[in-house]
Amino acid sequence: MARDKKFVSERIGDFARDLFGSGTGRLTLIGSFILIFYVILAVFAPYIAPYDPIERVGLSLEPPSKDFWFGTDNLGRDILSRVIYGSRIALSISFLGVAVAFIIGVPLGLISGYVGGWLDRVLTLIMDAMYVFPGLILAIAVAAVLGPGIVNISISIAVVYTPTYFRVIRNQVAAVKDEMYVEAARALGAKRWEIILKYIFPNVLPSVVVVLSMNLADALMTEAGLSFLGLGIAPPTPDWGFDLNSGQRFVLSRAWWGIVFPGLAIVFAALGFSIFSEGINELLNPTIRERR
Amino acid sequence: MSLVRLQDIRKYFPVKRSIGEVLLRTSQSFVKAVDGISFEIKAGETFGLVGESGSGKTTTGRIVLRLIEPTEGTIEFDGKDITKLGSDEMRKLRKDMQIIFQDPMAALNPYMKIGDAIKHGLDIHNIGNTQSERKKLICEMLERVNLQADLYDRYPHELSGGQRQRIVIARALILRPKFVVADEALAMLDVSVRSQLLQLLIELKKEMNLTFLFITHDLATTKYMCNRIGVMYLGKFVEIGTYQHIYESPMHPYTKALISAIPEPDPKIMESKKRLIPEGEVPNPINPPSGCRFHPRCPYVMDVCKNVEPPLVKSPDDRLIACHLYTEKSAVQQQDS
Repeated sequence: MARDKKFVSERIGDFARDLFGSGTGRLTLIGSFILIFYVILAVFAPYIAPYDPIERVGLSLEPPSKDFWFGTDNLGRDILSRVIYGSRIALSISFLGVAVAFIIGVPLGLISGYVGGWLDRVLTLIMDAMYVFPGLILAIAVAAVLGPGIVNISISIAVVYTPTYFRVIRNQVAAVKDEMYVEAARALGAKRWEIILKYIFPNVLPSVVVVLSMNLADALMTEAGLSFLGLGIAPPTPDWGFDLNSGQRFVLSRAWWGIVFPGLAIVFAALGFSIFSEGINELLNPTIRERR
Repeated sequence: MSLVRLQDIRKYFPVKRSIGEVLLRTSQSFVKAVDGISFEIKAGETFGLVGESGSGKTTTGRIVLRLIEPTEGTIEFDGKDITKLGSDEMRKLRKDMQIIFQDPMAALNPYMKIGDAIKHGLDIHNIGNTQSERKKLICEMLERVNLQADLYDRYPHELSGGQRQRIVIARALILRPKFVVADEALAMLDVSVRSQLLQLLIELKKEMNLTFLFITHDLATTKYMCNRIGVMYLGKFVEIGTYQHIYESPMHPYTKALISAIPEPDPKIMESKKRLIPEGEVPNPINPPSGCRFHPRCPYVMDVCKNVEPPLVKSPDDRLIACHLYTEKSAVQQQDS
């Protein structure tokens, strides 16, 4: 049939028009550009950065100049290179943390929502108890126990965000499991896990994708907060939060560049994630889209 | 030989209590959706279940398939008591008992292609040895319900309501079940599509030698489909009989009222026809009326109706009826004893 023969490029074009066509869509476009920019920085850091981020390459606390665009820190390291390399840690920890939270939170939410009963009550109680903790404080507590390292920091961030996934999924499942197509699957003789995977999961997934993209911005901030407090990656690995911390000690000596540039890097990354997630949210959630 | 037999089935749904009520230990109340019904469906027969909304027809349909567990009573299927069957054995049995749902918009998973939706049943019950064989079976079935086989790769939202209902029928019947519950299967469709699908169901019933439990509030369709009809009111049967019993000489006042409400195509007959609309609303199934459940709305109400529940007994012309107008003697005897 003719309508099936749609070129792949045409389909991508349609999707892009959906995504970026409206006013907020253009914002989504800006958000995704910022995201792509940071991903490129992280992946190609060795080729983009002008200097080695952990070597002394100039004098201490040199202001921004032709040689050092962002100036140097108290140990004479190039701040531009450190900001570029820092995106690696920031992105990998926030992605890893959110991924772990997703992998743990989603299945638990599916099981809890579908099975119900005492299992649901116990899991909801545990998750709610975790949820009421202020995020950064819980992350600090977990990070303090686990110690530094990319994986450990990711786990402490995951602990903060797992309840979010659990709650969103569980409530959606509780609504979807009474749908007639779920009953139809039971009437066909489908097993529980088949019903959860084939009938319920695809129907609750869109709501999680939104949470996923929103959490990325939060996770990035939490990571920066942790390393600012010295609970992040062990120095001298370049890390925005850690650089912020070492920069703020010299603000009084008028070395503003030590705190401004890592700070801006964090702000723009969090902004990019947020704008992008807002756009995704509207795309997947037609009720919001129609209001505009 | 009866294929399905229900005995004394009751289904009480607990009413959610507020925290205050739990603390005050208010006794738990129940919605008595189905309150003690027994009937059997013979192999090859179509049993119609009619009644107003809230009379318990849909709950009964779900209980027969054990999609809802009954509070009390036994379900027999094919001579076997399936009330306490384990979930694995029950799953195997589901091949023989299927359901066609009321709302074709809601009965299909929006994220599953049409072909996969139908194929899932074949996968579960291992019908057809290879994937290509299964696909062939599905395409045949699609054509049998008058759909094009190239709908295989479409999603439900791309189809019309009538097409979707055909898919739902195909999904149920491709398993070659013995027994099918049609739960208001034609209610959500417009009139022209409804008559086509009714015709299709009648044809398929003949071809596949199906036994139907046909749940509907549209009395006119039962005329074309059903061998016997059971009239439900507030979770109980008031009358069970053949099409002639129910349509041509209804005995129970409630059945009479229902039959009189069927619109007639001829306006002259319509004018002359006396309409017996029962007064008032259907009472609350949490606290059904004492005695005969229909007595607050019944035009022929007697004293005995308010206190004694009429049993479902066989009348001389071989129908089952629960009304003191016809069983007065036995009721009085009960009262004496």
